[in-house]
Amino acid sequence: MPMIPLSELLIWSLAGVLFGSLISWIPGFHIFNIMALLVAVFGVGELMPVQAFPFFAIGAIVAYAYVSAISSVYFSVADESAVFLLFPTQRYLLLGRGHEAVLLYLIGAVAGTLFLVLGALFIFPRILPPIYQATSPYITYFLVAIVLFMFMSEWPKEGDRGKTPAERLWMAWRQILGGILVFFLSGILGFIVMNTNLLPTTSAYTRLTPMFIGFFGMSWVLLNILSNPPMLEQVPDDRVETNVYNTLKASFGGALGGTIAAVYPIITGGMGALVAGHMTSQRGDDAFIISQGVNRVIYYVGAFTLLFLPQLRLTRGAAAWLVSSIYTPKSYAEYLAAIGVILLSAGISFIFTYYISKFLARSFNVVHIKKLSYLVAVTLVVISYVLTGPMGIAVLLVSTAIGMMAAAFNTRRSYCLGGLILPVLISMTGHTGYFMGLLGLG
Amino acid sequence: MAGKEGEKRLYYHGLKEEKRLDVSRLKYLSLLLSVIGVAVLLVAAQGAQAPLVKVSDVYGNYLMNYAVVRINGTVTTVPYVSQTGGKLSVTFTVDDGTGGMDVRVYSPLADEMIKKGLVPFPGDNVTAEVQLRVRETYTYSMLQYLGGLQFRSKLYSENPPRVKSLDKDMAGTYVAVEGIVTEFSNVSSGYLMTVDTGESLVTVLVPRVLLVFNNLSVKVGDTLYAPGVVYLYKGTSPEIVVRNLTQLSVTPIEEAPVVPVGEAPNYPGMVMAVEGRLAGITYESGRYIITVTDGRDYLDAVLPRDVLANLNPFNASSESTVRVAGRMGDDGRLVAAYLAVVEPVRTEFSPIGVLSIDMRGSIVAVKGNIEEVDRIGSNLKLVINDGTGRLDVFIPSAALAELSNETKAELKEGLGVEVAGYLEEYRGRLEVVVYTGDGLRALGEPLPPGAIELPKVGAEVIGQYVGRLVDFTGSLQGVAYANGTYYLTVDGVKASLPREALLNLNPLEAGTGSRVTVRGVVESSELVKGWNFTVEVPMAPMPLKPDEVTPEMEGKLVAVVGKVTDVANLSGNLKIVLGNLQVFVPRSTANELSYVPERGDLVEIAGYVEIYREEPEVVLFNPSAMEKLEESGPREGTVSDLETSTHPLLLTVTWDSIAYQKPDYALTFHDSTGRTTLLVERSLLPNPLEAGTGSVLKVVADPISGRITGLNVTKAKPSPLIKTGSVSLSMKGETVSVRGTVSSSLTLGSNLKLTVDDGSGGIAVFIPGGANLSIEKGAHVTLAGYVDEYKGKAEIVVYDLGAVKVEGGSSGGIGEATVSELSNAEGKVNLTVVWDALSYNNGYFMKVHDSTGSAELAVSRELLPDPREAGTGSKLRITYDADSGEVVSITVLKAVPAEELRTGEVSLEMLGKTVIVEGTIKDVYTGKSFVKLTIDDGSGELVVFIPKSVAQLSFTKGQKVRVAGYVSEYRGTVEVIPYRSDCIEVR
Repeated sequence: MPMIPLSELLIWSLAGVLFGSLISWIPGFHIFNIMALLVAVFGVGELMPVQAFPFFAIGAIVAYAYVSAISSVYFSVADESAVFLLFPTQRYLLLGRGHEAVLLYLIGAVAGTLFLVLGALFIFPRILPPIYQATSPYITYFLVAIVLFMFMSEWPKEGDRGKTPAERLWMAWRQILGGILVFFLSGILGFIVMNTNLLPTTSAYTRLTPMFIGFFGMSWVLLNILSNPPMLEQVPDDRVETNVYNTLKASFGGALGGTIAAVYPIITGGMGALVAGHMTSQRGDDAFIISQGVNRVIYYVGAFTLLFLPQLRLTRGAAAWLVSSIYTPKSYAEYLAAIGVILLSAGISFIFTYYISKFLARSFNVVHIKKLSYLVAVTLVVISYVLTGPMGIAVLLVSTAIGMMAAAFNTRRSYCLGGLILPVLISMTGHTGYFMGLLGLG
Repeated sequence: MAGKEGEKRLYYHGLKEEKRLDVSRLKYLSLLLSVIGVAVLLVAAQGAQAPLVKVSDVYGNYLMNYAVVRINGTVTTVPYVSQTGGKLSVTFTVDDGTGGMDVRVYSPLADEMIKKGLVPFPGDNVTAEVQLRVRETYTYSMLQYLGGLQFRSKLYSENPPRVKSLDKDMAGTYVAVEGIVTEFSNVSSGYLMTVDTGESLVTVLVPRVLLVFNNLSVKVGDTLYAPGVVYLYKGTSPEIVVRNLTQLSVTPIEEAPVVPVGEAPNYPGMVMAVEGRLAGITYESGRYIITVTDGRDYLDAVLPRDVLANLNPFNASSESTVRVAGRMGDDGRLVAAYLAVVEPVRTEFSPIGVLSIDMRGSIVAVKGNIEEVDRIGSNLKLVINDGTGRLDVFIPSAALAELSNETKAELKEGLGVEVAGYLEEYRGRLEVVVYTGDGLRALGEPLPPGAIELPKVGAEVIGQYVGRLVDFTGSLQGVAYANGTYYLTVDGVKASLPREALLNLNPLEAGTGSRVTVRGVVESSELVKGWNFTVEVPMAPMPLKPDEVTPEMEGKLVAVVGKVTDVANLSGNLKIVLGNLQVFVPRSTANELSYVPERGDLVEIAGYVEIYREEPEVVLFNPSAMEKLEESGPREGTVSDLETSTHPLLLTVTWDSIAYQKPDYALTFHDSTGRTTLLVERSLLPNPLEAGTGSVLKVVADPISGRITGLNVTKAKPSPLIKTGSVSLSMKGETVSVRGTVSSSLTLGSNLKLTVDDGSGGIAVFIPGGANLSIEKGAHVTLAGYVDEYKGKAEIVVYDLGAVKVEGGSSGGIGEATVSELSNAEGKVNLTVVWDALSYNNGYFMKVHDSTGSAELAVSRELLPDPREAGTGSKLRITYDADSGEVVSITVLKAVPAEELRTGEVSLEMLGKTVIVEGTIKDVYTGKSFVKLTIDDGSGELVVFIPKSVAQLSFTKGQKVRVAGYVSEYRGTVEVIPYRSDCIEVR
């Protein structure tokens, strides 16, 4: 199947950017879910040539990697109970510096884009295949190590707040125990969803969608609704408070974490950032936000770009799996075109993000996040139903409860990734049959 | 509290405090909901069995990617196992009647599946609960847990029926065979064996999946009992696929009973062993033949190289006693699969000089310094020299592969090496075939001088060395020739020498009395059978005048200086006369002369004296022993000087007429001193359109041969343009030109015959070699030639194709062009080129060149000449259609047949060249549009790619074929591609 003409390629890529930009600022929406919905509703091959799908997807993913900064900064819950656990972006928002946080994120995103493009042109084709070949037999061990590291990097908090020793012990450990509970509950749910026919087989390609919407999207918007966050006045100032050293260090750390997450399966951007953050000893809110920008661009866009690399053909990320089942790019010409599309999409997405942020900073106190969250919650339910039917709604509800539980116990939201990690680890170690029997599924 | 207030001021600047959310309730509520929710979903999932689907319904349906489904069908492929990065995967195909789908099982599940013997085989009916993987063009499935694979029926039996042969109808049954393993190969799918049941040959596959955790030792010659599933390989070839190793049994060949050599042929089909002395080794069609003897009877055993390699030629000489085991064939030869040395006799190193053709087949060990290293295909050829002689060493690719990298690195020119193998003759030369890597030791340094030294002996002690190789030294007394052999006399002892060795003696430099060494075997005290000759101390002879050579000098070496008075060619031999002295140059020497004297030359010639018809005659045996003493170029002269001169003369003459005198032309010319006629080659003649009779020429005339050797036009007189009707016999010999319309055109072989008419009457025109001009009736031409008589009528003979100009008309006349002019050429043009190479790229392309450049021309296969007669290197006349961009006709001007090569000698350096190869077919692969043969003549395997359009024959293994074609390359492998069906001969 030949590559589509460049003019068509550009049109579809721009359509992807536009689509991604329109969707990605909305809290709780994930571009992967929306793309799956598009495929389910419209299909590919009729409205869009199948060879154009990867380029549409890469445009949308680049837009998501940039524009999702808006929802992270402006529409992320922050209330009094989380005052010591605030994300840096939330701290910026509460100080009226939401626009500055977006700008810091954009600095990181641009650095990540440049790192990705330069790497894709000169480094990845040469070094990734041998590194991946050498390390891929040990992915199981990497995964186990990272999961262990996630738990080990927790430490008892609030141990001085209880009145009795038993109460202090419980308060110190409840967050960690809650995290473990979230991990295993989500793992069991993931195991059921992946290995049984709970959800209809005819839409199996989206079998994880309601679970992840519940873990991350729905629980986010529900918290927004429940917490009734204040709409503080924002300063639309284009100046940022950081320095070159912090920027470079954060970029390096973000790039490292993003690369680990992009190349190795199951390891997500958050997990990669956690590992890389410890490796590079990141400090400071500005560095954190910049590194997030780098990390997310490399994780989302880089992982998808690997699909274009002819001699490696790594399929990483839900979007890549979705696209590869329809059309897999095959030539270096498509690889180079993809790199060009990344640059073009990044430029457009940058402008989108900047102006949306500027607009929101000026009118933040008139937009009400709660109303928006109601709308999004309904949409997420509809998406789950369209993709996976009534059982999808059931999975959505349970996973939302688990996601809420993670928030309630103040644990890392990434423990919900147990929904993916645990069943994959069970499969990799050859214990699927054992657990099927244990759970009465075999 | 103050701190808390500060935080509030920091984060809630200018806002009133919102209500507080009691997160503790949310915490427990979410925990409760999560646990209950997961439990409910688990219960729901327990009742949701994977749906049974048809393969055709799910194949390619990307919406079902990752769906867990059940498929129910029959296993149709042999389970394929692969190991990547230490991880196993097993793949088999299940066909449910609507289509087939690969089911993959990955480590560690695959390991468990193999260990538990749960791998399905062809014919098994299974239900598999799998997870689908839908890719762009390929859909497969993954087995998630072993319990997901249910065997509905299994093709297996504890007591399978024993069969002697297989046919297609037995597919899907479980049977057993027993017989001798005659072929064994370790292929990607497992151990593939051919078992001779005594009635037929049956293919048995022990799939790789059974070998992952088990060792199976089996080799050619072993007796095998193999039960298994009958599977149709590629849907047509039945083979037994073993599914259970515990049912397989192997009886090693080493346990075969020992039978006396003389009785062995009486038991065809029996598995046996024989013991005897190793009488010889040779090679035949990809296998080696060893001959063993018990002193009275002899027996040939056919064995593969791997088995022969058990015989280390350094440790076991031809005197060793060996045990060979195998199955006795119907032809009285033992098909051996086992070879062991029972009583070894160490191989002594021999000087290369003592090796002779009589020793063919015996094991020898030699050492020497490497003089040449050549890659011949995948094989290696060395030429070594130990000071006593040079010897070819052939190392087949299999033996080469057994050499360590260090050893290979030390196989360089100048370094020493020890080799052992069997002696063979190839193209008239002796060579040692090193059939095992153990037969070669690189020394890493040059062999020390004198490592191999022969005794130096003189005439006085020669009698003590009878039968031994020596360096015989003495004073040279003379040379004689008798019964096809040259004999030197050295201190009274005769030493025979081959002519090649005698060429080391140049009697111009070393005459009688020179100190010489003859290397050879002492036959008796009066004769040494020499094969090499060196002059140690030369003594130059005193030159004599021709009349000073007398009959008394018979057998002596002499040098004579004199003027050549006559030179005659006597059936290839040359007779040169110096004054009254005859000098005889034998044909072998004459052919190698770089200078052939002419009458009048002053020369110095040296040779030995012989009496011929009672007169002394000098025999020139060395082509270097003749020198011209006086060099002189042509000098100015006149026609009248030709009668007396013996030197070439430069004449300025007026050209009178021309006539044909096969194969040359006779040119008649005059100057003021007279008129004469000399012969001249056609190529020297000027274009008659530019310079015809009447022109003033400068010619170099050789009065002795009567030929013109050089010709230049000094004052050109174009041939006069006359009316066609006025050409008459009175003009015979004169050149004329005519212009008119071709009224008839006839091709006679390579010649062209026209009738040209300008309205005044037609004239016949004969154009030798003009067939390719393709001038048709109606064409307007201008041409020039000389007038000749044919059947009593005048005709114009055009002796230069350049003298034909087609000016238009229906012929679309063909002009001459060079390669460099092709890019601007239009219509048809003629080229005279040398063919360099042939290639194929959606059509054949010839690479050709002339003095102006090279080009690649498209050509249809039908036009290509027979490479056995005219291959690359041939000079061709090509008519090329520049508009369509392809060759329309080819005439071979000078044929150079394709070179005959051994199969192992064809290499990638020869890409495009035509070659002829011959060998035995080792493998036949028939593709949709081609047949691929692997042939071997013992020097290494070679692939012959035969397009279906060419392949008109059917081929089977063991046939001998001779193929002429061009050398090509496919994925790094060299191939020979015949392009004419008559160039493939099955012998």
